[in-house]
Amino acid sequence: MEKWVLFVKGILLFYIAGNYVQTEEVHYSWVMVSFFVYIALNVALYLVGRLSRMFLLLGSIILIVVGSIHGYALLLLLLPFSVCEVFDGKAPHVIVLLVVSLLPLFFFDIEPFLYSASAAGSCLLWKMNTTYYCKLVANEQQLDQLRSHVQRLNVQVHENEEDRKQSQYMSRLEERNRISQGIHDHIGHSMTGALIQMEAAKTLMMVDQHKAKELLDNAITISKEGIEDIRLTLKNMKPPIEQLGVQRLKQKLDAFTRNTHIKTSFVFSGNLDVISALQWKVISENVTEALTNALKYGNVTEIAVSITVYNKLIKVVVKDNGVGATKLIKGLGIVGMEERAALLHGTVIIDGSDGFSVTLLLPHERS
Amino acid sequence: MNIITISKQTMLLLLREPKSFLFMLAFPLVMMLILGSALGSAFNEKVDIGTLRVGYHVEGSPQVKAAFTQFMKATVQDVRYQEVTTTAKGKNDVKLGNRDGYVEVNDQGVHYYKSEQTTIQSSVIEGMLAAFADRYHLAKEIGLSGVKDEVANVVSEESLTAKKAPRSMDYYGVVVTTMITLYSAIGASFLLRGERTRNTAIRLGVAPISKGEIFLGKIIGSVLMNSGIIAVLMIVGSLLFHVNWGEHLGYVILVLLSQIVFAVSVGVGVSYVVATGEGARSLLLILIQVASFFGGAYFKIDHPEGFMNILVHLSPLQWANSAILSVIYNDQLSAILPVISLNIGLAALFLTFSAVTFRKREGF
Amino acid sequence: MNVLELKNVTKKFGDFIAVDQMNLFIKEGEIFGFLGSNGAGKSTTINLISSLLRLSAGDIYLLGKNIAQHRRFAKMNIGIVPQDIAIYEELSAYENVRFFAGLYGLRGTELKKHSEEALVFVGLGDKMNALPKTFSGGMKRRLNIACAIAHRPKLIIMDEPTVGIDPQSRKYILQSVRQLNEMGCTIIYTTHYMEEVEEICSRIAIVDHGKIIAEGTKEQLTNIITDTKEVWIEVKAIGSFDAEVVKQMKGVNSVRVEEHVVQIISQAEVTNLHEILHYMISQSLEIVSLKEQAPNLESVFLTLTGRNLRD
Repeated sequence: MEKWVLFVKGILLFYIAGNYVQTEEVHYSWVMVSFFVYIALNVALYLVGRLSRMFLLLGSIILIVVGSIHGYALLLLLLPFSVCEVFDGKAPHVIVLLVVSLLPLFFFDIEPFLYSASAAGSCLLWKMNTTYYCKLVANEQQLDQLRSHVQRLNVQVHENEEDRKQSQYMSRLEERNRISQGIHDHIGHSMTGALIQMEAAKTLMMVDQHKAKELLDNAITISKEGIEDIRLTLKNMKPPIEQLGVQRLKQKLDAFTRNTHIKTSFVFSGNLDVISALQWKVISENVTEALTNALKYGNVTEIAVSITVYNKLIKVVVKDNGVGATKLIKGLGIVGMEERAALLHGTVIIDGSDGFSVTLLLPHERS
Repeated sequence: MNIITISKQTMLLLLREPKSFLFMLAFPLVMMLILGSALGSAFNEKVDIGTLRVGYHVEGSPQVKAAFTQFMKATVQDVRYQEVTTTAKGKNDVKLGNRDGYVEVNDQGVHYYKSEQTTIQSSVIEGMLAAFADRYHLAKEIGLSGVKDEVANVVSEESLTAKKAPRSMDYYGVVVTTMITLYSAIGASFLLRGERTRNTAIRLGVAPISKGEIFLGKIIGSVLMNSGIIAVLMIVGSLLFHVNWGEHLGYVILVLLSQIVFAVSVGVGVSYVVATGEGARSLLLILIQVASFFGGAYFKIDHPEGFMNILVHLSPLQWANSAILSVIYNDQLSAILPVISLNIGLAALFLTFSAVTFRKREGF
Repeated sequence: MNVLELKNVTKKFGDFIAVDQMNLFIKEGEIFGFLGSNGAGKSTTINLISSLLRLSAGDIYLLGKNIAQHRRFAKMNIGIVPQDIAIYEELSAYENVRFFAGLYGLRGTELKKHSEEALVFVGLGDKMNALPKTFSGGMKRRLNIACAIAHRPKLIIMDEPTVGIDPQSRKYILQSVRQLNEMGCTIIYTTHYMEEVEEICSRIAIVDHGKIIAEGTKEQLTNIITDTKEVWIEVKAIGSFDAEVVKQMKGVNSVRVEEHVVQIISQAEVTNLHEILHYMISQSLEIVSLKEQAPNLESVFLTLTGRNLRD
């Protein structure tokens, strides 16, 4: 942007110089001094900080005014641009700029049309320049934001994948553990018991047939129990994920209440067994996000969380009693919730008409 | 093709709205009648001559005396003759405005000193005297004989009304007609908005026609319809009130047509600036009233000065009126060119603005 | 073949997202129901399909062609019945239909024939030259439909075509919709009346906050919530009722008896009520009251969105 500003100033200077050469006016020294000091000041503008910049601009405005009084009136053409620059990026409405820069018309003897045209041109150019520059900066910022967002999401996807693998592995490990434990605790004992009884029966078979039969009966009973144990162990193989999930969520809500003094309630219904570990993870993350969101929208004293499992669908609702928001603007938080849900083919519905409610709908994983 | 369909439809819709139709016809006719007959005095079409006051002095032969006496008796016009003793006194009375003229009759002829203040009256007397002199073969020497010079400062430079001048009904016939062209702006402001309030905009929007076709069709329809109304108005006006439309009717119609195009464009343009239909209507009504007032639709503004002059010349009605009156009464055909180009130019401006807004707007 | 296909369709008005990445397909010959409360994004979606609004993102395909590139083709093949009655009160019924059909390139005798047929189709054949001012609400609604079908579109979108009319006109309109469908039109139908959707739609999408949150046949949708239904039968005296007999009937999951009330839970898609009742009557049980709770679209909508459709 600086480049173009300098260009415009250069053109103005060139024009003024050209005109000066053709006039009979003398004041040679004044004009030359004004010219050089102006150039010096305006080049220096880009080398200093904000505050000094203001001083330099003020200096060049005074210079222009003095120079045009004592030297060459046309120097005043440089004024509007400097005035514009004082406003910097926070340029007011272009009309205000124009009015301010037209003020000298009343105090100085200068050709009104030439001056107004140049002032108008300067103001418009400046306005255009700053507007598009601001837009450019904003766009770049947004781009950066989006980039980091994409990065974050990538990491998240990666993490999710890792998480899934991890939890799969963990649960397998757990299973193995539990099975071996079960085998060791029950079946092992039964089998050993049965074995001893049978060994004893074998030795007694010739001596005391009656006793041996009794021992064999015992061994059979023990074996039966053992088989029943195997059946039970295998049946109980499923880890209690739902208990884990509910427990974790409850803890989270309790912690939230402790930190914020916002009351929370938690209800669930339906067969929670169908919720998979990954789904629990998404549910938990989204509930956390929804809680954070609720804090943002103010006046919240109560938050109700419910999980309902339907025939084909899991519905999680986080609803607060705050003011809500009639006009919803999707922030990164909401987008994050949606993306997590989309990963599991679910949707998020956000409604701000009566308090703020976030509904997460997830289809069962089996189907 | 679609443009024709749309414009036909637009005209049909307007035709089916008898209220506004009636307004556009009855209102101007009533206005012509009222204004034309009530405010007629502003026009110098009839000058009341009243009693003519003439001073006279007769010298010379008895025949001349007798002849003049007979002439005085025979005068049908209401004339008060008064004998004046000296020439100087006679001239002085005229100078002071006490008399309309002074006559000196002698054997040499008739000398008549006429007043420059009561031009018409003195002209009448002059005519009578000329007849008298002719009859008696008197040498006439009718002239101002210095009177003019002496009363120079009371003489207004204003000439008598031009020979070809509009009667009051002619004036209002023209002016009210041009005013009614402006009223087409109000109907035009509902052209596209009306489709929205009727919900039919949705149907037009989903139909395989372009917005440009809708826009053009609507405007063409509206212009044609309003032209029809103006044509009827012109015909009825000239039949009922004998409004004079001059010999160059084609040129007059061209001006009126450009005025309608202008008004319709303004109406459409305003409907895009003002949010509500009622708002647009009120704004247009105010604009039309102001333009009508300064354009001389209610009473003739003859020689505006200063600020008034500027306002008068800003009124689009004034442009059209003066152009049309020039064509009718002064045969100045070139007067229509600036008006037409101004009207069409402004119309183009308004239409471009509306078309761009219309195009940019999503939906309809 | 898909008559209509929406891919990631998004529409923003400033910061407000009216339609949020909507994906949808409608097959030929379907009557597709669009369910959603006010402001859910139904009308915006319809306006996007009919090219009234410009897409913020995504693509819409009509008969396989992207409507952004084939606007004229798309417009020629779509007929819209707007939510609000969109007719000219000053023009006769025939003039109305003729004008709108004329915008689709129909001319002369063809235009006349099509317009008349459309009016006859909606049952206004004898009112062709009457002004709509004299029409009842139902008749205006029918004229509203006639204006949309005279150009014989492949896809007809009906936005609440039965709002505020008498039951008879409604019946007539529903009948016309079915008839249009039989004649080969694919139809998108939006309404607040759940029973209309249940009656005529072959597939339904539930829309909320600009998203499709569920989609499928009526059975598929109700199945999301539950696959069972409950019947409560209250009898004067339980007498010789044998729960085991009922349990053996087809589809029955469980039977419970509490004092004078019998509760039977059975699979939603099985109809067995008449069988149950037949048994009870054969056992000379006097039935006092009967209540059936089967999942319907209304309850699906309420469950999924937390709101009633007519809010």
